[in-house]
Amino acid sequence: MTTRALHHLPLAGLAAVLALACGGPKVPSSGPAKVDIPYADTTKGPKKKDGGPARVLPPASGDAKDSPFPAVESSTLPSGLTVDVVTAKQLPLVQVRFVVRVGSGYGPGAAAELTAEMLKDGGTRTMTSADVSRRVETLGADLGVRVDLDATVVTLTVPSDKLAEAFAIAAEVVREPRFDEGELTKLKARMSDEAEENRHSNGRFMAMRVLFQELFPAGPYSRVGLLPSEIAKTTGKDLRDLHAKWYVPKNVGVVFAGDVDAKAANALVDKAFGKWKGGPAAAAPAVEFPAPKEIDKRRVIVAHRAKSAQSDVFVVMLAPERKTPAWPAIRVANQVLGGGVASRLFIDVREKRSLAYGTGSSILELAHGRQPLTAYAGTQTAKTDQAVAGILENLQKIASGDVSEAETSSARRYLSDIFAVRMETVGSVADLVSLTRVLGLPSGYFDAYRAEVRATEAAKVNETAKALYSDTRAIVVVAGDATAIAEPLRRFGEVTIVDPEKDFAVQKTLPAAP
Amino acid sequence: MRHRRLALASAVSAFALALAFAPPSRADLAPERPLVKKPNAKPAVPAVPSAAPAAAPTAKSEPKPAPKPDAPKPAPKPDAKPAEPKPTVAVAAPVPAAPAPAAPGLQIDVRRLKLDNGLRVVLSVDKTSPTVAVDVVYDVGARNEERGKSGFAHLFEHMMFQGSANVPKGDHFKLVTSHGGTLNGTTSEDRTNYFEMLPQSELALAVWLEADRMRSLDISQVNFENQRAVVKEEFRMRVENAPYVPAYFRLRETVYQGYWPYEHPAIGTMKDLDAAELPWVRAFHDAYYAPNNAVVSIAGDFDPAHAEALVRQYFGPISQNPNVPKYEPPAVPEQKAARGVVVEDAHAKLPAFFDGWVIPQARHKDHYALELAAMVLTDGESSRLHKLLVRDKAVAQEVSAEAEGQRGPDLFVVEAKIASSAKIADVQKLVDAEIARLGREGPTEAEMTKLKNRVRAKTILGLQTNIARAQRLAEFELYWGDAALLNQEVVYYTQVTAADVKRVVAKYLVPERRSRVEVKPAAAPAQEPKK
Repeated sequence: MTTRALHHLPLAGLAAVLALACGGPKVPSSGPAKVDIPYADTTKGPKKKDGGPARVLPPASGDAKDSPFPAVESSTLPSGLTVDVVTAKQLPLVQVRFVVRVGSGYGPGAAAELTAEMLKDGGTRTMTSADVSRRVETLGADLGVRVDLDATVVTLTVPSDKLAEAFAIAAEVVREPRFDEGELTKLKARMSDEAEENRHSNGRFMAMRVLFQELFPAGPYSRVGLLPSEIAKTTGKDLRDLHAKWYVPKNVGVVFAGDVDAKAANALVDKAFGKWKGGPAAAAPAVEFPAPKEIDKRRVIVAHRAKSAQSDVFVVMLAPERKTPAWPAIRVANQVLGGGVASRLFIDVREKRSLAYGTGSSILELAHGRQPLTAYAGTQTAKTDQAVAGILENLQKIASGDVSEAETSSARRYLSDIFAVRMETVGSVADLVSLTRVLGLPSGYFDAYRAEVRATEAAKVNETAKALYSDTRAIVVVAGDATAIAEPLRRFGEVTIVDPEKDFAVQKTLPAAP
Repeated sequence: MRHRRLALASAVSAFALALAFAPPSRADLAPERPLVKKPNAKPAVPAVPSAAPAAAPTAKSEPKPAPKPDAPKPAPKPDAKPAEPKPTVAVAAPVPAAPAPAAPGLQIDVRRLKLDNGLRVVLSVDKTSPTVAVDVVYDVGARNEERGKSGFAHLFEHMMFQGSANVPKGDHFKLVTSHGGTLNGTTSEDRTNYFEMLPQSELALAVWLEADRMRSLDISQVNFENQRAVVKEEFRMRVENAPYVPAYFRLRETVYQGYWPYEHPAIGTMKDLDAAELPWVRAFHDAYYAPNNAVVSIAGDFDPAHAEALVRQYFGPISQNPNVPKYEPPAVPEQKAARGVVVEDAHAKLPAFFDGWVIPQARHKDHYALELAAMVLTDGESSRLHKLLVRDKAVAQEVSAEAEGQRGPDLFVVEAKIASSAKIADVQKLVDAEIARLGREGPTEAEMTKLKNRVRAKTILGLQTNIARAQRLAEFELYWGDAALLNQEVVYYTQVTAADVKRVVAKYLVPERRSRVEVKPAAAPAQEPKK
């Protein structure tokens, strides 16, 4: 084994090349001793500053063009099912989203997530699962499903000349899943393996699981991601019940974007869903969303990831609810703090302190109630406490209300104009329209939001930042090797160590350093 | 498993766009919401309608593609000789006639020109969205690195964001962001690129920024040490802490042993990163970052005459380098027997294996057929191996096959993560048998129909965005000598027959040319958190 190979492995010594079979090289080659590809000595001396007059200032902007959100034609069937259509004929493709407002934690155990997967993996009334995938894929289409905290979304990407056929299949998948027990057994085994992997080596999963559990001790948001035990105890009946309760017309929206007009889209929906009543209930069940626990003092939770070379550090606070009028100002403040490559965290934690490759901040948006706000850095194990300190210092600074007009101006221009780039694909447009249905945002929302962002002044950002950020009322969640990082983290507060591989049970609590 | 590996294999980027790990915000990103479950539909989509009436779509009803990582990689038209870019004048390059047009090509607008200093320029107008993307690709990547200097092309790429004559450190980021855009850079084995995506009104800014750092890099020891540390964090994230990635690296070492350009990873090694020296940065810039070693590609909503004027104004005065180091790779040593290695991985929970074969370069006629072979095996849930291993027998967690699409001798990879209830040897037998059967019998007629529908849809999907088109066109210009060849790619796939797929599988994917790396999850960690 070469030195080079050693360095690639997670931990030299532990992760070693063990055996060589089938005539593999005993010492892997590293190529010729010296490749004749010179570069370092071909030209000497400093780079010439040739080429025309030096320019001190960048060129001026050209004439701006408006980039409003594309027109959405919306309608509602008598059953309550909504239809949104964005027509964009540049490409012969259509993106469809079936939006069901049932989040991952809305049902018991793993029911919502298993239901989502079983829509197509478990077959439908007239098709086996294999029939579904073969038929959809033969059309050149793709059918997928995703679940987040507030919605299950079935996605269909299809060439427009195959839309009718593919849509009919997808609609049956949503409406009439078979929930085949044999397929469910296999799916549970796959998802359980995946869950085992996540809690073994997925730092972000560990941190998210911990932070939601801490903020929301009860209710639909108390759990993010799955544990094997939760998958094991979920039954086929749970899935059928969940489908009957939540997959009802009033709780479903269909979104089209692409090469289809509203008339054609509505005809497809009418045909597939016109007579659909869903389960016995007319509307989805009412759900209670308990308010998150206030964060009154700073403390640290370490999700132990054995042998981790890096720590995933999240400093967690609470933001107001998604529909607050202050939302545009919150977004601008967050952009200044950690919204990209010109943000404070990037400039300070990465470019100055050299503590991370990835760092930033974001709000984990929820449809109901106050939302988690996180500042993140991925940092080497030995410097975990330095990264936490770096993030906290930046939080303290922005919470003092020191955001400048220049920072505000840059952030609001970015947030407003990057929309045009993000909207280059009809898939993005379909997803944004879907989001308005999940969050209950009004029509025309995105243009109004961008206008408000553009009108946000530094004073408003500072007022918002003072209320939003804190270096003391925050939970520090770290996924990393507790044996190395827990002790140094005591300087930030009491440290609780949990073991993801034991269902996140508390292993130990260390008092705050005096 | 695959997505993690691809992130590395295809490109190592200057920074994590959209916060790789921090859950993104909904408001300004296409929804990629807090965890829970990965979408399993293919991402992305076609160009969006700008409600702006000015948007005069180019070719209606014909797809305008844009490049995409998971779009099928183009392969050279068989024996295509890189065409010399047309000199000086902006000419709309004629779309080459399809050899035997079984299906129409794409109609991406392509205009090519070459400045006196050797800079190749590709312009592609598409006014669907009032945005523009600028991509500058340099003909230098990890393949050009010497032994002992692995990872330097990528470390250097980070230095390109640290300031230039007229752009102090940090200003590149600030200028692009404050004008409503975003940016990044990536390094692969085959090339390095830098790009900006902006509102159309900011084209001049992007061109100016790129020209400034091609001409003059501002470097310092402090910035160099900073970026060395940042790249080492990137290494920890992408390699040391990532299950299965070290095994994938081991696969490349095993497959390409004796062929250094592709044997070593673009991210390098910690040892080599530690050994890198500041003077190398200047030397590297002098050697490779010259107009005659680069392609500038612009795609989106712009006036081509104006864009050409901007490129001439800012890049025109930069001197060419007549002594760009030649890339003279050795031959890939002939493999005479199967190779195998077992790797222990403390971060992996499930066993896995990677099989690799050396195959012809992208755009070789056999490469198209091998790409379709990969699709028969694992593209979609109805593909042979996915259906057999993941769904029917439930012995694999995931399986994927891919021809990676390198410009040099390429790599065909099959990888499978084994279900906890299954045995790796059993899964290997099933995979071996299925590959052998494909080599004996070829794909069915129904499979060929599916493949062709999917290739076309994926190609279109993969070329929707301005940046995707800009990158793909730039790479075609750089690798194959003519960006306009991109329009014909779909045709070449369409011309592949079932007999071709059968032939290439039987020819290339044979056991004696295979390298296999098995991943053995490390035993449970010895240390538990102290009680």
